[in-house]
Amino acid sequence: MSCRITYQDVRFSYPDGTQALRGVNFALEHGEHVALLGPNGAGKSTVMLLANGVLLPNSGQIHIGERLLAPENLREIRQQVGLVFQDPDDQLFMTSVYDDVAFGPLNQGISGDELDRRVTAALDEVGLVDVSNKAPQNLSFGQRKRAALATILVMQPEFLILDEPTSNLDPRGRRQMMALLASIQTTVLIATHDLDLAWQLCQRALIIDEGVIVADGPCHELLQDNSLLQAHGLK
Amino acid sequence: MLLSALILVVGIVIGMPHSLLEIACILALTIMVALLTKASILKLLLRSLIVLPFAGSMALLAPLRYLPEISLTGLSTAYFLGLPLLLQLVLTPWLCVLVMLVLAQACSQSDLLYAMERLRLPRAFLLLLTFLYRYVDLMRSQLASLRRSLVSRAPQLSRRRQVLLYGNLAGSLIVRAQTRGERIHVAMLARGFTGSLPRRVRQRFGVADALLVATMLALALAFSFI
Repeated sequence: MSCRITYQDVRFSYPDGTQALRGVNFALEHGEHVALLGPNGAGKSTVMLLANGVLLPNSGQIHIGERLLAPENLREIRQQVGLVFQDPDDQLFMTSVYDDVAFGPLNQGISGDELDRRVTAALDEVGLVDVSNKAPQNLSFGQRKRAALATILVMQPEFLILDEPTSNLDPRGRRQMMALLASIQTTVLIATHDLDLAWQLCQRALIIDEGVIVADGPCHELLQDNSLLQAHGLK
Repeated sequence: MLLSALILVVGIVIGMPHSLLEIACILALTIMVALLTKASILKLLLRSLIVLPFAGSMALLAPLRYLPEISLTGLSTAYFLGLPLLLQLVLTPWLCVLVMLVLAQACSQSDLLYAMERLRLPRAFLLLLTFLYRYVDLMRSQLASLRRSLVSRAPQLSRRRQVLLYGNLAGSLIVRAQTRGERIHVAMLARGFTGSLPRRVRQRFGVADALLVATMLALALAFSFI
């Protein structure tokens, strides 16, 4: 299957010397919903940023489908892999929700009626068509979270990577977000501390700690292993 | 609309209205447009007064060019002779600010930015404006939360200590802004950003726009040369 993400012995250090990943190996198969669990500073964000080519590994290889993650493939890879950040204020930087959702497709060279159709469809999917002309700062936090998701869904990525999609949401916002994520058919990697979310939405879980994947298996099995969760700061 | 407003402002600045009729004309036109946008005229007028301290303080010095001698009589003569100039120097920027406020009221920020891009303003400048508009509220709320945190832990502070602490707050705000800027840049890169903001084509320059521009041009020429 070509729609596959593979990390092979991926290592990454930040310029200040912090070694974030120390040989990460895993593969995501097409259509899987996978939870990436780990304590703060375990390397979850680095794994996500690498998948989209925002960071490039110091060593090891990442394949997105058939493509090797390398500077010459970044344009295509960023179309394939959508990244939703934890704080929607980082993701929503344009002056209206519509413009923000249109930002990605415009960068892909889409315009005119096709752009309008896509943006409206993405906003409809997250239930925000009515507020499309509003400025992002005038939306509630839950709406901003959903708008951030729409900015990625509109690009129709093959892989969707989400950082803490339910953090700071009230119960209703959380329910809405969970329902939305459950309806997504594409391959999804969710970095989260929300074990309930992982339990409900993901068939598989990866646990990362100190820059290495320490467990990889069926989500329900891993989440019932109390000693494993405690050993890696998840309980 | 942006082009029309700019033409009118240039006309006002070059012509510097010197009769009550001219001022009344510009004011009537501006208020008419404001009424079309269903804006609160009183609010707009009040907001436009923000320019008065700046324009007024400069205008106060202008009559001194008529000062015949340094004395109380000389000063009163200078201000009597220079009163029309003083009024011109206050009213010109006030009218310009009012026109711009009506423009801001009539158009959405994203439409204004799009219009500026169509007028070939530098992209870096537009990028800055976009982010300024989007994040100024966020910065304000961060500053407010920093201040709350400061006040909750130190309700009584000497002025000197306050100044020092506010200096720290400003530093902290700059660091936060930079960190957020880096995160936003990453988010932009992740969505295919290559250095310039792509903008969708919204509307073409139509007959109504042409008529508005022509009217403002005619008015501006009238103010400048008649």
